[in-house]
Amino acid sequence: MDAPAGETLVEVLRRLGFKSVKDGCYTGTCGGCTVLMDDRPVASCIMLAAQADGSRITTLEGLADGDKLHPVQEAFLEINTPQCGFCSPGMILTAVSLLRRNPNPTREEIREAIAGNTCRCSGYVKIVDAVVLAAEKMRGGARR
Amino acid sequence: MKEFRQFVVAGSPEEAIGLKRAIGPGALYLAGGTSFVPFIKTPVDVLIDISKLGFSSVVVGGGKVAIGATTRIADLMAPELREAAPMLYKAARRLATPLVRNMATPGGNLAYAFLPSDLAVAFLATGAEIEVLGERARRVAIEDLLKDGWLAGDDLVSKITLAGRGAGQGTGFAKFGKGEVDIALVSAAAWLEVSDGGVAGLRLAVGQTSSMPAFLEEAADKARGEKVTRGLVETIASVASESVEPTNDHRASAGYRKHLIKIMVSRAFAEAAGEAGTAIAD
Repeated sequence: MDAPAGETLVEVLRRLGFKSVKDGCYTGTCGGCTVLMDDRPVASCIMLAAQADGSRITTLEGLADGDKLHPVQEAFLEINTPQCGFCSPGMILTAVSLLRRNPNPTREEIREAIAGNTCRCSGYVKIVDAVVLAAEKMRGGARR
Repeated sequence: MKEFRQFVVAGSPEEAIGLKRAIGPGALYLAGGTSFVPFIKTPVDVLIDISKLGFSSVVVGGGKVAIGATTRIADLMAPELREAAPMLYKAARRLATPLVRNMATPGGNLAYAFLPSDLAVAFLATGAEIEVLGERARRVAIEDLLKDGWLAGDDLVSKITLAGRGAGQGTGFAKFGKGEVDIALVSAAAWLEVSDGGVAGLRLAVGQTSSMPAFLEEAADKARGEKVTRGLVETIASVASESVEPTNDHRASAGYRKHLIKIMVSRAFAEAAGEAGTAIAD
């Protein structure tokens, strides 16, 4: 696809209908626009779409396998993690990337990993709980 | 949408430099873009993407660590580098957030040193050598780059080389901002070499205190040959604070920054002493 030179990745993704990618701050501060670029979480509001050329971009829309949610999504639902839900897509993608690199993170490692994803509803406790639960699910390979 | 008229992926350093020279100020290099994309508000004729020039590897060997200028800052936190050059991990970990570090590059961070560059401070303390390509191609000690007006024109940073960790050496990095991930009000970095219980070498730098980072030779000179004591740390911190004229702005007053310089320099020095295996005597 083509994009004007000045269009950011979040603008292109939302134009294409990927509305899980939130346009929040446009300064890379809030993390609502998080996508995975070749498996690493990045803020799509502070990069141009052209910079993603040749990379694999994953949004929340691409996580579930048909009707089967990703274990991190399941964990977020089971623990009732989302409050307003604005940060959840980015938070989930960051967690997915962390668990691919580190299947058994400590709570501290989880907190460091989500440092770029701001949640203004919560104190982050349930988010960390959900990532811990997701890690257990993924290591066990089955629902608990 | 930004008013960027053309986006060109440079296939070689020569192509990038040639374009920059041909177009002049209307053309800008783009590395990770994490400062550039959000904060440049004026139109740009041509953006030259320099992320695919092969400057994205880190090589450890011969007592040195050579960092490609467009390595992702997140990659400076790799476990093997943490051992070879601990300063990289310490400074990179405190730089913005993982989302930014996955795109941002050390070369870009240096080029934007007039913005709050954490790595410039860390590189000053570790005595990094900066390789610059372009019409004024050079390999230059970072403190000389600072004296000579930093980067300009078609200067393209390709590599940053630092000495690896040696026996009796330690590094420290301290930073204070509104929160963990915010831009610092003051950051400080120290590189220390201890021999026979005395300071054999010290390099100190502070950042975010004014428009450019500062290399604190006077404070470091005070330490040479001295025993590592609490009194010495206080002296170094005071001289450091005296030798800098900090910015007075909406983020912090000059007086508050001077206060913070003392504390950050003390913390960076203490961390460096600890890593060098030296206890600070009373």
